[in-house]
Amino acid sequence: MREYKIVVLGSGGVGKSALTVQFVQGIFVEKYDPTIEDSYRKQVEVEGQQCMLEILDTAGTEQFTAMRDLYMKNGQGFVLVYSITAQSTFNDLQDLREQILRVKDTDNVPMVLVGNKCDLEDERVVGKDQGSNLAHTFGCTFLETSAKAKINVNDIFYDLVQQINKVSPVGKTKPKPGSSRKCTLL
Amino acid sequence: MLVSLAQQQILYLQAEAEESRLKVYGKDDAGQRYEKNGKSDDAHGKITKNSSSQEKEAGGNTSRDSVLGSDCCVHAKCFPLFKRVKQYRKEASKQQQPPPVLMKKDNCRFWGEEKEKDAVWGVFLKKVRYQRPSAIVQIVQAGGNHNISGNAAGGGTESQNGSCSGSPDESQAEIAHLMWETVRIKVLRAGSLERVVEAVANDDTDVQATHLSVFLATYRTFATAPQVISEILSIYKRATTDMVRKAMLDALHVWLDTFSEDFEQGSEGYDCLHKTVLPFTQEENLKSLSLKVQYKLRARKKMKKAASVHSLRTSSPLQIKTYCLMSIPETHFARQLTYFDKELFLNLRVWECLGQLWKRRCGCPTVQATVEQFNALSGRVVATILLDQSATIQMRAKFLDKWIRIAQELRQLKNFSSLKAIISGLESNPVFRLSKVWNLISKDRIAIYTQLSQIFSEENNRMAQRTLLEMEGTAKFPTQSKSPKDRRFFTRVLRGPAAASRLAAAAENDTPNGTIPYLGTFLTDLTFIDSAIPDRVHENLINFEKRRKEFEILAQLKLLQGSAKGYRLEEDPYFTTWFNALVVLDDKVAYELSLAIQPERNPVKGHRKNDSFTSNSSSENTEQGLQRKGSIPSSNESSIMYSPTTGSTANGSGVLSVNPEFIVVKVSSPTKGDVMYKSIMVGNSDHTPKVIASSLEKLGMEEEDPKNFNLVQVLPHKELRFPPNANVFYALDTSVHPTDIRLEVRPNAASIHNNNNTISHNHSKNSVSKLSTRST
Repeated sequence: MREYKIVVLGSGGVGKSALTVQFVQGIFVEKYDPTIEDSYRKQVEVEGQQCMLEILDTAGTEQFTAMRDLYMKNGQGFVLVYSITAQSTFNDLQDLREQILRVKDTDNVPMVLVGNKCDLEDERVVGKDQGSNLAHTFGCTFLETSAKAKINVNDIFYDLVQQINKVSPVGKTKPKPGSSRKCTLL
Repeated sequence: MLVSLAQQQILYLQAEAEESRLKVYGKDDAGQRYEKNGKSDDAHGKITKNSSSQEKEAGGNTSRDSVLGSDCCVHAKCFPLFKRVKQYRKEASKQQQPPPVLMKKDNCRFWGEEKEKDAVWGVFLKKVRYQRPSAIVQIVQAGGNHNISGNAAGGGTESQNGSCSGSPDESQAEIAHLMWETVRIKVLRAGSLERVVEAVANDDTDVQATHLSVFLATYRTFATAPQVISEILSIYKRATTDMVRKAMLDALHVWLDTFSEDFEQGSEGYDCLHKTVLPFTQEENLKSLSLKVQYKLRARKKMKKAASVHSLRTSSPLQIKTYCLMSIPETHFARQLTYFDKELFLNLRVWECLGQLWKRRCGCPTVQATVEQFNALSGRVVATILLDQSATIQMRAKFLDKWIRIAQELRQLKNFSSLKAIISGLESNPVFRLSKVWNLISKDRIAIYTQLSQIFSEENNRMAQRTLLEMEGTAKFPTQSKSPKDRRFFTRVLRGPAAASRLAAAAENDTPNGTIPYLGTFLTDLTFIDSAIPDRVHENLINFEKRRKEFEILAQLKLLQGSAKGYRLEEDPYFTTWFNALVVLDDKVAYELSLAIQPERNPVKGHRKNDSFTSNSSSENTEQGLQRKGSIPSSNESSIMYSPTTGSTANGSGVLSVNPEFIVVKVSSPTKGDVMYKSIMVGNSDHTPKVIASSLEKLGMEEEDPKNFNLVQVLPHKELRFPPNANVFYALDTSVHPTDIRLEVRPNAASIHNNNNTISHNHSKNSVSKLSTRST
């Protein structure tokens, strides 16, 4: 099974961890434990393929700015999150994206721009058009989501997997030839 | 009233032992019976109904519990806590039931939930060593067949032989055979503020102590200090029993003693202490509390003064002596960084790390200070390597090399905070991309660096880091400190002006050190707990279960703070001044400087150095290059592709000098049915049986006999079966990337035929199972 390393980035308080928890855990679970090794691992089926998603969420450590490059190097796909209720979180993303491109040393990085907290419509300060314009300049997918209301959460990750597949097609990954050859032996 | 370490350890021993007899004190007022939840395997106790004296009985069994303790039990050797937390995680990950904060291993079993007005209680049955009560109430003896735990064999005799030494000789005949009894414990799960405060007066002393610790560490997420004080006072005033009054006073005492920051001058708490608590103590004629309050009100002022004097001293302009990066011995450097970190860590108010408080980024000055120091160090690593425009590539390589040596000293000091900061600096893009500089670093040093950076691999939810902290957090020495290589680093003759401190450092070489963790992991964990678990449940009651979970993590930090007191370090003010004067660069400026040193060439150029060390050819197209880049951890990219683990096959002699500590591998088992894998650490002295055993344990198959399994490495085109007593670390085929090393434990019995590609050994009787050939 192919593994996908996805990094969730964005300023503090935009609800990154809520998105990740919602995606990985689905429903609220009492036994939630963030310290076990598969807390952020989830298996999903995208385009008929089983995929293992490893999500690296920077929640809580946004201010350890020195760590960002490290996170970015690890990722294959990026979720850039802002909150539609806080303009500054939206403004921060331009720098983040530039940093990703520098670290990845390419312009073609799988990425999804996410305006979170879309359930808080009456607190909205970042318009939907602002979001989609930014996504257009980034050349990436745009989604407005709500972790709380469970809107569009899974779509973020499915879309990223598809983007990663496009950038580096499945057939060329290492595990694939190995496993198919084993099957013929059987 | 607080659980001591010794008692906890005794409890562990007790928990290990098995017994066959059971006595249950039940409560029948409402005629309630609680059905046992789910699939647990134990206990068929009969419940004796007795409503009159059971409360007292339960209360009499003091200090047996081992719920996470409070400050008092937090000290340097408190290993059981980590173990227990680990055990708990294992349990929690396996079971679907609501998690008891009292762990199963501690003979505590969740029985049910009890609801009343404004409160929800979790009811647990706990097995404790039987102590002869002053008045014996009705006892029902469960028959010898009723073993509490699944391991029935010889339970009776074992408990007779093994654990009755402490039981009273003078026991009456009819209870002489009773070694254990089961008591009923109520733990608050959710409640209104009033009920949460009230629960401090729980009749079980241990639950009470724990409840108070959790409450005081986390109350800031749901109430203010004045609210809590007024609640305590009003409960005190209307209380009908001395026990409740005493509990309320105890709570105030503990609070004043352990969280004096809540009563700093200018805070709400200070005013409240002055205006409400002081008059109250006088009214009620509570002398000792009154004295303590008055003392606190005075002491605050003094402390303030002392603090400002200190800051004056450190900020006074000192002449910058001849310090420069290269002239400071790395031991001294590391010790000074650790001095900073130790001060910050000991001053850290752990409750500031709580997700809800830290998220708001205000009122968390001690966390903020830790973050700033971390970023400052990383930034200075980058700046010292990039800034000097006249420096040659060789000079930059020397700077870089120096930082790796400092990092290595930090590893010895178990200062994971600064260690991570330096690694982050070195791996930050502007430095990391300078392949010309990295190429000049000696192979040995690169290997050391790789080993250090692997500690912080993000793989598997930072498993390497967590395990290491668990192993060394409260130990006196780093696990690998005795290798000759490390010794050489320690005893190397240092040059420079700090000869005296060099001697001091050498003298302290063998003194125990504390541990300073990287705080980010804790912040992330707490942020996630905060996101995943609701603050309020059951119609707006405070979810105290969540607070307990948070406290579990705070308690680990507390524990490490206790261990950090073990550092014996003195500040060198010249170093402080020099260090603080170093420039930190903005991201973009750093990148521009980096480009000036080594211009950009093509999108994959930063990784060309890979080619000499790995099998990947340079003709990979951009897309593949990108995919590869993304799929491997930072620590192994670029010029450092030959990590110590990779080197173990490629370059045998290199390994010995490098002395790598461990490698993290993924294990799975076909018998588990699911595709999920777990990660384990394989050390360089681990042989096949040990690796199988730890794999089985990790996969939740610890009941299986490791002898019935063999170990296989799954490779893209073949499989490698390990001989029964191989050194797995060295036997591993490391031609694949370190993160792609996959092992399987397979039952011997299922062996069917031998795969062509399997390396089979003469003395191994079983061949690889057919199951293994399923596609992965």
